[in-house]
Amino acid sequence: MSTSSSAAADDRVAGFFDELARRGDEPLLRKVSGRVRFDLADGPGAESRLLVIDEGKLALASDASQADCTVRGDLPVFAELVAGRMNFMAAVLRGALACDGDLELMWAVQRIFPAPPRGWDPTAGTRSA
Amino acid sequence: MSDGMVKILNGNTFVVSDARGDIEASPSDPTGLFSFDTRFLSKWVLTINGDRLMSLSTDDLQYFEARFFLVPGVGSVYVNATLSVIRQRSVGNGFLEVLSLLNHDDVPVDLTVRLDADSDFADLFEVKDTLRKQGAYARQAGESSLLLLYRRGTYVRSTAISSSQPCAFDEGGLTFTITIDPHAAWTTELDVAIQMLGQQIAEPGQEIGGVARTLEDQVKRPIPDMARNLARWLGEAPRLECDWETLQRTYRRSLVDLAALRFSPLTAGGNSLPAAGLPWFMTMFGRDSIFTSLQALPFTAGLAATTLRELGLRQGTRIDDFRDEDPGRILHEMRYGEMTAFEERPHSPYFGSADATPLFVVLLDEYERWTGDTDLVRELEGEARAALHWIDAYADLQGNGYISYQRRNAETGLENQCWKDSWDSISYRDGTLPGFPRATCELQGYAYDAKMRGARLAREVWQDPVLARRLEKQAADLKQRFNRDFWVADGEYYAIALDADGRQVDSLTSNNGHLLWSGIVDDSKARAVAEHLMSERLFTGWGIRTLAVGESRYNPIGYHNGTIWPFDNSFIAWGLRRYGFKDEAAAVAAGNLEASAYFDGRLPEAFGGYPRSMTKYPVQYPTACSPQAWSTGAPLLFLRTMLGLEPMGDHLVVDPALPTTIGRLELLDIAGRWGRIDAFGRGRVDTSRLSGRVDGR
Repeated sequence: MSTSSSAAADDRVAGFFDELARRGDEPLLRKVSGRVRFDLADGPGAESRLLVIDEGKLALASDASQADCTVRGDLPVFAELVAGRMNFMAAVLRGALACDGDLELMWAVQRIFPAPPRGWDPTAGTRSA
Repeated sequence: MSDGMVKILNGNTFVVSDARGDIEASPSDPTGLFSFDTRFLSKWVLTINGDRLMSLSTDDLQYFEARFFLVPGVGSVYVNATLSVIRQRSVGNGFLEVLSLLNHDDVPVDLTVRLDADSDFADLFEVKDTLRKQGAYARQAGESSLLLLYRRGTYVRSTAISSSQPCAFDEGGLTFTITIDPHAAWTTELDVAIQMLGQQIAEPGQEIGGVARTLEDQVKRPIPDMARNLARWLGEAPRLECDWETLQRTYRRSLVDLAALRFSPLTAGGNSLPAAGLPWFMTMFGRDSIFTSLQALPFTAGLAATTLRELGLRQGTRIDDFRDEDPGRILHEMRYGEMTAFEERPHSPYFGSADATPLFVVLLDEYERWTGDTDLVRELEGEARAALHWIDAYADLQGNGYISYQRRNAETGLENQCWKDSWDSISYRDGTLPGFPRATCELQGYAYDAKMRGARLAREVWQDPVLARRLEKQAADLKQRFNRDFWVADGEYYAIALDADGRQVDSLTSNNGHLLWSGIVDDSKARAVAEHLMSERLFTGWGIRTLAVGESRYNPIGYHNGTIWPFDNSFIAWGLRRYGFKDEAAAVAAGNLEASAYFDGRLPEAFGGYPRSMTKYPVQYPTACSPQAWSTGAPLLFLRTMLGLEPMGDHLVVDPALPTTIGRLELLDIAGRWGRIDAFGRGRVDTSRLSGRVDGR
């Protein structure tokens, strides 16, 4: 991972969380309350974003404090997630994302990531002819 | 799987071995230790002094444990009959095997006991499709354990084998060098532990001593708890008293199998829902979990609550073409294996089912009618509204007011997204297959029922009379159009589907029975439909065929083209009953239940559609999946139907119409919003006169 592409990934992910903070209210999480911490690992360090959900109302903090559910992954993984090019649950099964804590909250919160581009086929690049 | 294989399971962890307890899997062979759709052990072979053992007998003690009685030697000549070997295996986190050797001789015996062990860590999809692995294997033999490991990038799965007695571990297994005294025994406990994800997950309400459990702990369920759990499960179900032994046995078998098929997603706080079937389908399926929950409602309503909650939690929220996902759509199938993890398969989850979404609303309403649990109806209001919205906004692919399906994932998506999902299950009379999209008839029935039931929930629970009126108006309109567009006038039955041009796919099928169940059938057409179902073209005496004799693709052992599916029959019987054909419903129930006697009380997925007068016994369809959840649930729904159990406000109506095969039947302590009620009935319906004609209402 070169520094410049890492910086681009960083920007995309930062943009996603900024937008999430502006969204304020997420109807898909209207029944959900809890604290979810995303640990964005970049080399040895990690930057944390704490998403506090109160019956669908969202608030964000750059905060590494205690959460009901923690989702940890490398920055490029989050960059793919926020672009809709990677599926959250597949990433969990693959170990690309590591989750601690309340699984039900994890299933709910994955709804915040965007849909893939129309016609997106994750196997297109790898499928043998 | 009726080939002498022994299967034991716990949730979605299961072991399939031969009658000796050995596992020797080939890439395409379904033996092994499986968990979360991954094979964690593909080789587990016991030898004594280099020789394989011979099976004397096998005890399936419980669904989660088995005992194998063995002696050395193969073939008919015993090499050493003075030695007995017992393997007792129970499924927990992987499995625990207690291996005991008994020396019956007057002299000590020196033995080399060897277990060969290996794992291919195959994904169930790979086992079915024989695909190649992309990751790397490692084997680490230590002082106290053998670790088998598979790694592909961040994806890691491992199996750790250890023993309570000292032994030598090497990369291919473990060896004991022992001496057993005269008339003495030697025992060791072999622990085969699996590791899935190195993740700490707290399960609400499942903490032990206030400490969050790891995933490994959650997979590990202590065996005594399981035995207690099964006893409690059986104790809480209504008690059946009946003078027909077949029904007694089938009822008990169904309850035990249903217990075995329970699956607890890690989000469910220890509650469970029905998985689809053993061994390939020990996972959450929208359609199968909903149908089975419907069948089991009068007996164990908790399955329905968990099914609704867990499917609701995973309801589609985006448009994802690879997963055939839409907002509001209820999932088809969830998988956890390697190919899903790497997005080579779309099952994380996959949404390609056109019926699960309306059926979700049907189950929610039926659940409330039985239990009075309006809290859950309120809790799932958003999910139910989204499901109803899906019917209009996403499922109407042709803009003609009907649900139809056409996969968007052309590589690994499902072609047929209805319950008859094999490639040739939807055909015209002349055998040709329609193009896509396809609007199969039962989907319209489910949509009608979902709207009617959704309207009731909207009016009575969500306090939204505007939505209720809109849904009722839509339903009435759908019913009118459906009875015009799907009715095959020259045959007096409903076409199985409309094709992409709106033309009728005109073969006569069992789907007509599901239409009765849904209520979409015009009263004026019901008798003709019932007569078709009970005619010799469809009713064999054992049950109703999927496809009628005389249609081009009819074949008595065609998967969806002539076999009898007990699950299908159970909903058809309920449908006959709904339109007042009590005796006909009793005849269908009686035929299927009589067939169950030939399968040890365990109705298979499907059996042959030969006339009963021809074969005298039901011919089993060769299938890889048994027990299967909705076959297990079928006898329960037949019982409900024969007894005419129907919630009416806070009361349970009992209106029995039992076949004369049954003298007396009592179902005691039926739980519901009325508390507990007993139902009684006597057999008065002579079903032998019903083949080919309809007595009616």
